[in-house]
Amino acid sequence: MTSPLNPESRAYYAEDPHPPLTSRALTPREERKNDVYYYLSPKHKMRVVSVVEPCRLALALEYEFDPDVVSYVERPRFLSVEDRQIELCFWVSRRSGAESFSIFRRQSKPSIQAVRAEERVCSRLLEAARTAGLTLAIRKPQSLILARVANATRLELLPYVQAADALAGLTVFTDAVLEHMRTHPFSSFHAIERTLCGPFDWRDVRSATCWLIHRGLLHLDVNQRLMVSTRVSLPEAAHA
Amino acid sequence: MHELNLLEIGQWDQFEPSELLPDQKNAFDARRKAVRAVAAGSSMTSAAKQYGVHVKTLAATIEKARTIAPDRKPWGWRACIPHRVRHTNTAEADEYPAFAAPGAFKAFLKKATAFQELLTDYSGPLPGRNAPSRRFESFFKNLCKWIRDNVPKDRYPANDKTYARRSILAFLHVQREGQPFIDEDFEVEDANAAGQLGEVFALQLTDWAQYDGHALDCPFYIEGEDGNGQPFLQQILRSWLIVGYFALLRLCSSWTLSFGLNYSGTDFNVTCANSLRQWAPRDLVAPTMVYVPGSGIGTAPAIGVVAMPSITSADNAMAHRLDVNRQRMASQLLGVIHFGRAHVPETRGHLEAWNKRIEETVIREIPGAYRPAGENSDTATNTNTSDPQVYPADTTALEDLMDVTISGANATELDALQNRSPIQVLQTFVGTGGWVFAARDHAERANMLSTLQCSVKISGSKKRKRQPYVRFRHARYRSISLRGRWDLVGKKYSATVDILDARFINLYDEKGELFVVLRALRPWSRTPHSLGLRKTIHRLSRAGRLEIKGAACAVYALKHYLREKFSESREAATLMAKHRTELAAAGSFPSPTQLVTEPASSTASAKPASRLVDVYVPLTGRVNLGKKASPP
Repeated sequence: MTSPLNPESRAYYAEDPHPPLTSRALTPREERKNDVYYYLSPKHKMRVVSVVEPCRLALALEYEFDPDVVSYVERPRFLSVEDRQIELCFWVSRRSGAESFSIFRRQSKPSIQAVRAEERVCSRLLEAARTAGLTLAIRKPQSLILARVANATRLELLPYVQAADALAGLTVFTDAVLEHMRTHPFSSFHAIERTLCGPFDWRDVRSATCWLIHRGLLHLDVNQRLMVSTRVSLPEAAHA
Repeated sequence: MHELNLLEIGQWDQFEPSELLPDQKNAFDARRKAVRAVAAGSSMTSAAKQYGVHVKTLAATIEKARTIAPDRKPWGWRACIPHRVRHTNTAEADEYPAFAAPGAFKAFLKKATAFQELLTDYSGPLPGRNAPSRRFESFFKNLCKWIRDNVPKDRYPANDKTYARRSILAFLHVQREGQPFIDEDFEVEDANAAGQLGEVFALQLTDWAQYDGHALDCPFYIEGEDGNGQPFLQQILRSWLIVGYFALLRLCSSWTLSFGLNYSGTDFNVTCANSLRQWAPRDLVAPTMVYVPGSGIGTAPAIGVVAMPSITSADNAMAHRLDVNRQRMASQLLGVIHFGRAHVPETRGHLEAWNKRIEETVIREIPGAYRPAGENSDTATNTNTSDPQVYPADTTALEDLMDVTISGANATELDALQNRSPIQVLQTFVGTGGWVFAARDHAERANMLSTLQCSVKISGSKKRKRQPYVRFRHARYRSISLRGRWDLVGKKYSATVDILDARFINLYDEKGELFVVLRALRPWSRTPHSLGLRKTIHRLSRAGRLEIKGAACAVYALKHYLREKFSESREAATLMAKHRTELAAAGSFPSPTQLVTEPASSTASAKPASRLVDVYVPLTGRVNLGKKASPP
């Protein structure tokens, strides 16, 4: 994004000695004409992430809440396919060091030719990515629509994680929550807040809990509708 | 389950497996091609044979691909990854066949994949026994040209007289067999699917807030004086209701009334900030007007907590134009900020429906209200018989009316909510453990929402004895603590300004700590004013209609100007209504010392003013260094 939303937003790239790919900023025309979604990414020290269309927002949130993903950048680069430039949607770097790109493709025109053309573009894209030595995944709407509940859960967790960033003395809250979780490996948001309601405000406790989920220190089944009674667990307990 | 078709496999995520061994990769490709061939209409057996996949494997692969994997996504192409390496026969033909013989056309297609693509792309009619097809003939001409250009003359099918016409037709027939007929107008669901937020996210009640402005179909006349001091009624150009609304809950969270040809980003900012503040009932002017018991605006009256949405939708027309909105909405409202396509109100359909309801039940009853020209009539029709000139509008009473009716609407039973009111539904939702986002510091966030962040440069000249100052939006700012600091001239600082009270500007150093607070010089120093009002005054003064040079207070000058012009200009009346609070504050002049310690506007200027104790603020442009001036 062109305007500095937050003094810290610029610090992200400045700190990293080897900056990853930078995202292309949307042009004013794109900002005006498109369905644009903005949010501050807690994974990137509150850098502003801007994506177009709800499906890409769902995709971005999937990366945001995946503890395995170290970093992701939207609109990282173009790939030239059949004399035209196709923009990739995300660059993703994982904890294992693996880097990959993903692109969201949607059937634009409702005709059989368009379906075939789209199919061809997809195979050409994969071919071009192979030539360039990039790992590319093409995401289609179906898998994103099937994960409607998971998408909503991530969206609902996001503001609490962002609020935790502004919380003074966050570690006090997270330590208290983790202490509670050690004695009760399976707990709900409600139970955590009830236990800690004496010294703390429930909103701060929930912020800290969501922050721990975002970091992967606590586990939550995203495919369940998010409620106050949703079960939160320690990751080792969840896999046992 | 229906037969596999191209549309269905087009839905699957595609990927290129990078960690497979070459053998496994070949097997993967073969299965993928076979699945695609089956989808394109070939039989299971022929597809298996063509790509060297066992029929049973292919059937199992297709069956698996159409089921949902443990990660709740369809298996899709992932089903094609082989468990075990098998020997496959995918050797590519290295030469065109020498002559027409059984299997020659297949071998030719294997070599000429581009040709095969041409064939699969053709969707026109095929010639029948007694039904020639012109479209096919012209297509076939292109095919012949392709063969002549690409195939050596002594090779099949260039050496064939008919250019393998029968084989081509047979290939097309086979390919179409079993494939549903799809004509040009066939609607593929996917084209429009997933375009809307609700389709991709299973949103809960308080997740989504929408903001929009709505023009009121009612002429308002406000009372003023003409040149002779007689009472005079002047019509306001247009009035707007800007509303923040929990879309799925159908609960209004904040509103603002704005006057003018269009509402501004500042109005929008105020509406957003109001939704973060706890609502309190107004002191109603009319004694007969009372709030509906149990009604209220926002979530606080219902559940005691100011809930905030996870996603905030705003229109692309006005909201994003103001820098401060672009800067602050994401950081203060939190969650996701969504700017929808401009001029597509359908994306905020719930809010449009709410506007319609308020329009029908409240606005139509106000004197002078009309139903705009539409389906039923070519001209606007009045909806009541009262004359707006007999009942002039009073802005305070109008705001009272909106507050009472909107809070009443929140407590009204709705069909969409099974005859329960939004407040009741919210209480049940929270009572049964529903998820709501709330932040403890919502009031601070509301104040921060109007803080514009920018970069300013310190100007000044030692030679010309011009003390350091900062220029910002048609005004100069100065502080006593910068007196004589010539070393700062030319330096850039990051700064913050409250757009609702632009008298002060805060400068920050590199560490992000407050460096100095500057105050605007005359004529911008006295009355609290928004940057929008300053722009309006500046524009009037540039056009020569208003003289602010040498004036003590620009807002006061504007007030006088508007009073003079009230009887002859509707713009003046509209400006008067729009900036009513700021103009009212310009009426009395407190002494400068009082101004410094006790700011006039309590909410907006509380923050910067508290840091300003003991600061001497020069009111004029130049400061004489030689003598220590005594405060006037």
